[in-house]
Amino acid sequence: MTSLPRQTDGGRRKKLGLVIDLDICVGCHACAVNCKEWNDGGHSAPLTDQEPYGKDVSGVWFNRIHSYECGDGPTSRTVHFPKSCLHCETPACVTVCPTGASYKREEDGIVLVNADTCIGCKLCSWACPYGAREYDQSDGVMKKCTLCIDRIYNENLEEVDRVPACVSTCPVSARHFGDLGDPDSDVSHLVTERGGFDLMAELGYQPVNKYLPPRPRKDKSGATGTGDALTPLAELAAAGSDSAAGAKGFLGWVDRMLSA
Amino acid sequence: MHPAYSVIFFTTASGTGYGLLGLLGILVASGHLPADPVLGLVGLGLAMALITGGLLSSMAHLGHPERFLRALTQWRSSWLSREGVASILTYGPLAWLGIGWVFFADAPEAWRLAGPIAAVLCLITVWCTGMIYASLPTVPQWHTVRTNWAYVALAVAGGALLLNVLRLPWAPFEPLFAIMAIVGLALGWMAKESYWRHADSGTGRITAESATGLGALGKVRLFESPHTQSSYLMQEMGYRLARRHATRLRTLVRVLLFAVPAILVVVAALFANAASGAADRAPGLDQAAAQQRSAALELVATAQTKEEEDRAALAVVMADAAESAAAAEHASAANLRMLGIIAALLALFPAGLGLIVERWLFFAEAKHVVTLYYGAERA
Ligand code: SF4
Ligand code: SF4
Repeated sequence: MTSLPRQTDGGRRKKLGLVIDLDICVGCHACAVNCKEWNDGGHSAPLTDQEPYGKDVSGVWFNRIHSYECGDGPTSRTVHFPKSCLHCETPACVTVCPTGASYKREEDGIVLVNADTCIGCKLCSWACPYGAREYDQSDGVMKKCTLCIDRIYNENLEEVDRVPACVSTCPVSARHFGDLGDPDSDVSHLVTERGGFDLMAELGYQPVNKYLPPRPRKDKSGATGTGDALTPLAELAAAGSDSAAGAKGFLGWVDRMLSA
Repeated sequence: MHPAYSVIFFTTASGTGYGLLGLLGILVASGHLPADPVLGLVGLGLAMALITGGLLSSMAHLGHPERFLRALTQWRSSWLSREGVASILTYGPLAWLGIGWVFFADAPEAWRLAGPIAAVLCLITVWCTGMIYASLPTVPQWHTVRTNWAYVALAVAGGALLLNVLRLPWAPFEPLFAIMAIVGLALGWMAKESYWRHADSGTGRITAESATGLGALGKVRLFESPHTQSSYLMQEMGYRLARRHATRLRTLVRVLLFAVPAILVVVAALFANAASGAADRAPGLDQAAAQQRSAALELVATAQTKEEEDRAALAVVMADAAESAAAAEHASAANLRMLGIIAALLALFPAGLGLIVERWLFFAEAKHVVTLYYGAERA
């Protein structure tokens, strides 16, 4: 059903989603790899590749890690930027779908595609600003991040494993999973405390997934609690040449003669 | 955006077909077209072929064409679905009009009402096609009502150009059809210029900084792409077209789609007008020649003197001359009409080519905001 679930004002709705900490992500691509691995056998399987062993490999990935360089000069920095479906509140990818294959679940807000009814018109991929829709060229249907719906409700898994594959694998815990519709959830607290933000908010898709900004840079040694041990080499060298000025004996004599 | 040939063919062919059908519907209802079965068969047959050919080609674009009926179910929210429903509904009045026009030409009051209904449904269908694109905020160049107007105006222009050719064999010349073609082309041109102005100026507000939300750190540049090889996304949305080609192609559209066809329509109208004039004069000349001939024959029969015989011979020569003048007028009417039809027909070729270039450019020039994640600075 392509229309969006009713917005129940007052009554709180569950909005499962991710909070991604751009301060922590190290751009190792582990989440993307584990996502591909899990989903290759899961709800949307298989995630086919074209020419997997040829020169022009391309294929379906639900999760991709971009890296950006931000700012200029000494204060510039590199930010690793994982991106997958944001499970938007008002996603045009769902409403443009002519068949009803694309839908947003009322019970938890997860956005899914039914591969059995999708006609592969690709319109949803045009409507998604975030590049989260993946066309499977072999199957002729659209596929996308399912928030690992087949893990998070899977009673055969240990409770701790009932999180999306990307979250379970992140070696630095840059990804958090939870109910963003509940203001008391851990993820909601993270968003409030760290100023979590929406991507391309001006388009009005109201993504559920939030991004936490990189923390302000600490470039003064005091700010990082660094001791003298980390005094820059140049400063040590300068200090060293100063101390030569007070040298005694033969070297002091040479120094005095040369400085004169 | 990637310009898919099936979609280019679909939007141009079907659009023109709906333009033609709509105009046929309005004009036959208002009595501007003869209730002639041949015209009905040819005109409506052509419109139906264009519409159906386009719709079939659009299915070639689908991953699962055999499931296309599902695409009609979501008309409550999807413009693509609405377009599908409207396009199929249009077949109703099309069939009604077609059967009436071809088989019940002598009872037009029974089927003329189908004309305006068909026209309204054609307009709705083409509007929906435009809306599929205009409703996407992700492609800022398309996200404007100018997209819809351009689709409608070009459908009308294409339909009017075809109708201008179809109407010509039905003498006498009527300026209405040439005027409609010129007005259609002028509207199309205006709509396109206004769309291009929007495409150049109204976009570029969404930046890599807002896409990543990292603007506070300074200018955002792509440091490393998520993949070393291409992807569906980059093939579909990352289509690149050099600016200088766009400028040249727009000039080509102005010339091929608007200027040259407009000139040819005017030339065709002048020929057709001259042909009608000649055709009007010819009967008079025929009559005059016949009178001269009978007068000459009378003189020949009654001639007695040498002088009278000479006068009779002169009268015969003049009667011959008058007959050949009348024949020449007939021939020139036929020739001029032929030249008019050729000029009107010739207008279709540059227009068709120009329309394809225009539609290709519509896709190729448009930039999707997802390119902002792949190194574009604004979209
Ligand atoms: S990120 Fe894209 S695919 Fe996911 S819900 Fe939003 S618009 Fe749809
Ligand atoms: S696994 Fe974690 S650290 Fe690595 S790229 Fe993914 S989010 Fe970043």
